[in-house]
Amino acid sequence: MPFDANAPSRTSGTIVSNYPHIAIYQQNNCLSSPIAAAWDNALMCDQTATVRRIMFTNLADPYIFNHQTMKVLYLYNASDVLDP
Amino acid sequence: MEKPKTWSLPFITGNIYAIWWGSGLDFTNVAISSTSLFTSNDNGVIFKFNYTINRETYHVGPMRGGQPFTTLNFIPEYVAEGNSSSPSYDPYLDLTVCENGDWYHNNDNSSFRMFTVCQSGKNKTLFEYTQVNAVIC
Repeated sequence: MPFDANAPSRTSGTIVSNYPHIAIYQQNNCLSSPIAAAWDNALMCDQTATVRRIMFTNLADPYIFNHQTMKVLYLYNASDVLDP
Repeated sequence: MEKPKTWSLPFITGNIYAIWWGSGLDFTNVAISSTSLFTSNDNGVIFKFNYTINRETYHVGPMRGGQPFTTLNFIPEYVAEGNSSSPSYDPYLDLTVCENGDWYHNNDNSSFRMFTVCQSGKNKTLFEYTQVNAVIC
């Protein structure tokens, strides 16, 4: 159920940056605030969305990923064909 | 979680995400680390990587407690149970039960070519890397 991101009654939630892989595909439970000035460019996820931060690196040669833009796409199924 | 020359992003558990790099980088080694807030009750997050140059297989294993890079304890590749002719047969990792580092590889030279790996709070220590090494023959 969509929620008012400014609702004072919310007792829990997670604030994350406005990444497209969340903003586009989690429109039911991670919404941006209608008052941008109050919340900058953030998304507020309700209690139905569990947010976990995950890091990608290269331990042997950290420079492998230096200046490499990382792309993330939500998939409905693992079999979805990826065509960047 | 903070380390230079890395990508660190929030993801919603219970979802599958494709990951690639803008330059088309065909990596052979990547280390994945998830927040210590991951619990065994959380659904996993599955990452799908495509690649171009042939990978015979992958070596995937947890790096825990300062374990050296060369002593990886390999996690066996996920093999789905059941009959592949059954309509309910699903060869891919299950978001609800996959453990940290579980992986599946399909090396068919087709649109199904993929490497997927699960990040989860299940079978995970508080701080660890999932090291992924591509094996090219």
